[in-house]
Amino acid sequence: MSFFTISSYIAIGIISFSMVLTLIRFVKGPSLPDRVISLDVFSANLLVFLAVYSVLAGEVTYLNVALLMSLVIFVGTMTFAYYLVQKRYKHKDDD
Amino acid sequence: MIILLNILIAVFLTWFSQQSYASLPNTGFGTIALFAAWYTALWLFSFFYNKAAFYKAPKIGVLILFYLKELFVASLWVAYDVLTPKDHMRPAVIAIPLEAETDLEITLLANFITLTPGTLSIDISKDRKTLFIHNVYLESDDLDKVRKQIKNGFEKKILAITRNASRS
Amino acid sequence: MINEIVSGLLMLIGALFMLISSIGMIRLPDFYTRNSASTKAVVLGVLLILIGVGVYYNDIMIFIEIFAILFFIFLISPLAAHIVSRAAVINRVAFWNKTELEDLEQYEIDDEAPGEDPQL
Repeated sequence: MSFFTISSYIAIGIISFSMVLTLIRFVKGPSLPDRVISLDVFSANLLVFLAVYSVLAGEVTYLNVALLMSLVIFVGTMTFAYYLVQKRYKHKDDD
Repeated sequence: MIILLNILIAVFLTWFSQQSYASLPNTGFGTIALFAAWYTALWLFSFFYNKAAFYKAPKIGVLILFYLKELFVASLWVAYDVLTPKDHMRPAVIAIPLEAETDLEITLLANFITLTPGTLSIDISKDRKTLFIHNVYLESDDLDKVRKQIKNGFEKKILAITRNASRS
Repeated sequence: MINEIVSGLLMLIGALFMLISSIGMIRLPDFYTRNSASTKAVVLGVLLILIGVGVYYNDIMIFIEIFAILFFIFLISPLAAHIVSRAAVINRVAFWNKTELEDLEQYEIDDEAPGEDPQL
């Protein structure tokens, strides 16, 4: 076990723990935008997790997955924001 | 645009010439040297067609370095803010009058504001003249101080680049 | 050997920044403060960890790929934060009670329903 292996295992542990924390905010969040940004931070954590895991497994292919994920994150956030704005226009008579 | 093209050409030429023994020091120094060579060639030819691109490049470099420094400072502030009790935070919504007009300038300014310490750009008004930002660390009651800081810092630097480009 | 130590340190520091952003997601009081805090720490954490991975592989193709990922993240992350916070303001998500809201009164939400091409 070299220093690099130990530090990458520790990094994977820290990243998994922070994924759990963002999921707590996802369950608790009082409003929908809270959940959207918690999902955003969760996906960024997943991207970084894939990058570190590609080092541990010795497979360069996982970096391509990370590249695709960095594009897909934005589509999800954008869709939810569009839905929120449209919902406001549909139900503007309520308040 | 022409600067980006040159950086790309330098990177790919380095890659093709050093494919067998590519590593970090070789690639880095090779890229820098080739970019310097291309830049000199561009400067020699720039007397014929266009001088603005040559004088603009150092400003772009300084802007990128400033941006990275601000990002680092912002993250340290966030760390301090998260790990201590949250009594010192005083958020405020501030309206900033804009000088930037085109889409590119406003987009750049909003993106840069979002990644500087404590600020987050919320929305732009209907007539595109006011930008609403959300600031976390408001010291004293001075809203004008924050306005002046942003207008003198980022907006000046961005306008110095884009305005020259549109003229040439 | 020196590559491995440098990349290990970079990955550890980046992971700490990701952890800080996640703790901030839980501890901060308000949607807007959470949004502004998490964006910055996440961008710096992704930057550090990916540079660490690139230093470990030490290959030019990997560097190009990592440069592409960083470019997209730097372009996309502030944009996503801006879009979501705009949607939150339009939906009147509550501010923290210590926030000063004097300037927000100038802001008017346009209540006309957008046509076929709504501007996000």
